[in-house]
Amino acid sequence: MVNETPEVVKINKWDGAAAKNAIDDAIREVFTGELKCKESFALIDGRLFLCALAVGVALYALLWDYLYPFPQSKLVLIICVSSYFILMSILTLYTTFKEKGIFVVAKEKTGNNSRVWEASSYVKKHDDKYSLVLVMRDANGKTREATVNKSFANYIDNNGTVVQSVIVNEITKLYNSLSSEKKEK
Amino acid sequence: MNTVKVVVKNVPDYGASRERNDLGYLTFDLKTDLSNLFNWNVKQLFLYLTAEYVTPNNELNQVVLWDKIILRGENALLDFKNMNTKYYFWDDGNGLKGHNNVTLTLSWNIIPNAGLLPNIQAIGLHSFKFPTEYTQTRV
Amino acid sequence: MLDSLFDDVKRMNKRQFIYQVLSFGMIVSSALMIWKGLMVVTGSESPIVVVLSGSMEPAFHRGDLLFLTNYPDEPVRVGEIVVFKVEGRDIPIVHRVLKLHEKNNGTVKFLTKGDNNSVDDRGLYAQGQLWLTKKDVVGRTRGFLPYVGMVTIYMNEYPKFKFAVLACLAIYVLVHRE
Repeated sequence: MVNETPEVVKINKWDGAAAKNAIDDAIREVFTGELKCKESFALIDGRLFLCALAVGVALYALLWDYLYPFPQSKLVLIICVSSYFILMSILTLYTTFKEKGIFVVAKEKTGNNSRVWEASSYVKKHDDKYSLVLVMRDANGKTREATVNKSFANYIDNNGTVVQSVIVNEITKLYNSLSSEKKEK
Repeated sequence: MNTVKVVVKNVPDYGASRERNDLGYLTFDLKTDLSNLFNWNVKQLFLYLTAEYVTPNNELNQVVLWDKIILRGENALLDFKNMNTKYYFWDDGNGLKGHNNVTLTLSWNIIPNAGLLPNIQAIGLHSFKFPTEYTQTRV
Repeated sequence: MLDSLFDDVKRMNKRQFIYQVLSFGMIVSSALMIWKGLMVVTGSESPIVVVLSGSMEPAFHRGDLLFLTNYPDEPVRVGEIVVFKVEGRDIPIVHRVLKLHEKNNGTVKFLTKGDNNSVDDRGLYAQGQLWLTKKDVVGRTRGFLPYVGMVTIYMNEYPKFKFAVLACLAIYVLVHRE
């Protein structure tokens, strides 16, 4: 019998980056746990692929230059160096525009439809506000989004532990409000 | 700004490495004032006197005959008479005897405290000829 | 403090860890690509060199940094400071060209001498070698920065220092989750 006690993660509540990561992780757990969604890694894998490609190009250049010393390797080096920096630009564009602040992409099957949930979070430096944006795309291509902007203090208790129940509540609220799409007020 | 005048020229013939190459000998006068080349970013001036000439053996020959380092703050007004060359004027072959047109130019390398290292040639050069016979006397 | 550093790592899943490793790889690759890029742009196999000896004083001192170019259509001329490698030896030498003889088919031979040396470099060349040729030249010095190269000298003379610096850098990047 596997006893799954969720790890109690303690973080330094004054460390903004650590707090964001902890809350992000907690939200991910809500989607994969309570809401029974399946996490999609396509976005992250895209980034990893670009990084691996860039490193690969650099290693190839290194190897080629080692086997055929400069100046014979000049052409290969020019190609590799330009490719590398082009890949880096593509990577930057990718993380800035495609990934944005998205930290979890979850796929959900409801009845005979499937929906995709994207959660992204933003924190400003030295600001205690954790801004969460939840976007839902359904099978028809319709998109709805909801934002919650609250201080960390709502989610993290004085000991530095993320209060999972608060997170579950918050996410469920958003989930419900976005799910009830047909109700026009 | 400068006058480069060549005095006394002889051409004895010694061998540097098994072959016998022409060895030129000359003394020179040099008068120049380089003080306005110095500024806060000039650490030193490396002056050098080059002899440049063409021979049947080699299309271009450049030989530094004399050089001097002038640090910023030192006297940049030079007035040398009958200076001996610092370095031996060996040719790569026997092209000096009877050579009609050896050009002497003065150049300098500006060494900054930080930055680019230009080499600049002075305006004003001096051409001279070598005699058509070898000299046996010691110079 | 060290503990909190590793807390982040423990909470990383497989993908995040791969990303950390790749991030480190990209930092190294970027440095590498910039260096290779410089090689291509300047035409020199070693576009930046540290002065290792005092043979060019008072112009250059040990620890100064030199920037080289090696364009085939800018031939070396007398009075220029060149960096060359003697065949069989890896150490680059920075000296000034004293004599030059060039044939019309482009082959050149040079003689060099350090400003601070009283004799020319024939004693430094390989056995039986009297002149340097184009292929011995790594590049011509175009610019210089004083003292900046001292770090490289320390790292080479005290390998432990180099190791420590690189290890710290690696640990920081691998462990710090963005």
